Amino acid sequence: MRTFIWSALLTLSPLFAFAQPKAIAEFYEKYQAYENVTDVKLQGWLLEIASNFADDEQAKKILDKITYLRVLVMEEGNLVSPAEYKSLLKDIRQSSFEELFKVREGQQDIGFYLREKGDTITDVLLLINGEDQFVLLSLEGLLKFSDLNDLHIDIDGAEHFEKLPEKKKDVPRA
Amino acid sequence: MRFLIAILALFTMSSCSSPKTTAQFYHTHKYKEGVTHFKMPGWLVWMGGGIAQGFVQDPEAKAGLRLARKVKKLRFLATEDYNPITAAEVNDFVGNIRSNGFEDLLMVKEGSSTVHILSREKKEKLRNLVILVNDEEEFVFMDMKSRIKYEDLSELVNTILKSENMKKEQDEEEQPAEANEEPVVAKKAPRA
Repeated sequence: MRTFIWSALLTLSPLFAFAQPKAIAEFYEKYQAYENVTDVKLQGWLLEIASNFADDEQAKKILDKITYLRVLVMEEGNLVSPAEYKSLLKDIRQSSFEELFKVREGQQDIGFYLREKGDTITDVLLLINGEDQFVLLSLEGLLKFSDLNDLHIDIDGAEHFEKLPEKKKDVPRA
Repeated sequence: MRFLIAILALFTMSSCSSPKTTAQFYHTHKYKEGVTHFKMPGWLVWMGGGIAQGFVQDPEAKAGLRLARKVKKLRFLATEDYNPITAAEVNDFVGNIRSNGFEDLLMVKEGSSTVHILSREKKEKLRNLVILVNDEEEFVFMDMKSRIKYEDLSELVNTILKSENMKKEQDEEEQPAEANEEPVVAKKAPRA
């Protein structure tokens, strides 16, 4: 019997090598395979080198603090169903993200979510859900709140960072 | 019973038959129709880089060649107008090398085109770098083994930036000099 169990585990071990990703990573992996979806991921020393080519010192200082950047963009129609969007929001909250603010601009819902360690922001999520567009932008690093409105990333949706105030307490709450 | 388990094990293992290393990927695809391949040993890159350094004056090129001399091995696959390598094969390969210690540095997917840059480091040296470009009609695979340190890459970037700044300064110096020059005005020759 013991031999049977060990043999079964050995047989199934290749399947265990594909460990379950986190909820948000799963969302990225699910949609990045679609034809009309753009997915960009940047991290590590390549990001450090990219920061050296930033136009100004301020941008360079902020890019130096970012360790990971990922963006999922759907421009030719939103493939995320309302149920999947709700599920994503639930996963974001369950992953200890704090909702900074949420606004409706025209036909789009725009949400900012943060995860902090003390005064340092370690994770930022920008979520834009519209009729014809969807954007999910993730940043990881060691940022201050005042750095967020200096983030000039040339990616759809990233212009919303510039609208954030310098201090977290000045963020308009509903 | 043992026979059944052995068959089951073989079946499961065989389902993971996509290449697990960059060398396996290269050898699997190099003889496919439409694929151009070459392999360059490190000593050739080292020697070529050394010879070229003697002929080059540009500081950026010199810095690039210094870096190139630290390349130990280079493998290259490419196709044009036709791609016999499927997206699924590329994704399986990327998944396999990720579980062998490679990390994503860059991944861009737009439509049916994907670009992957993955690296594996050891003791703060870039040991392996893989670049994969996959499209419906085009495919590029570059596999490099090196002993490049991250400070070497920083040095190259700083040399490029310094060179660009010097060129900008030279351009700025030339522009005010042209502005300060008196305009040439044609004067009539005095009549005798």
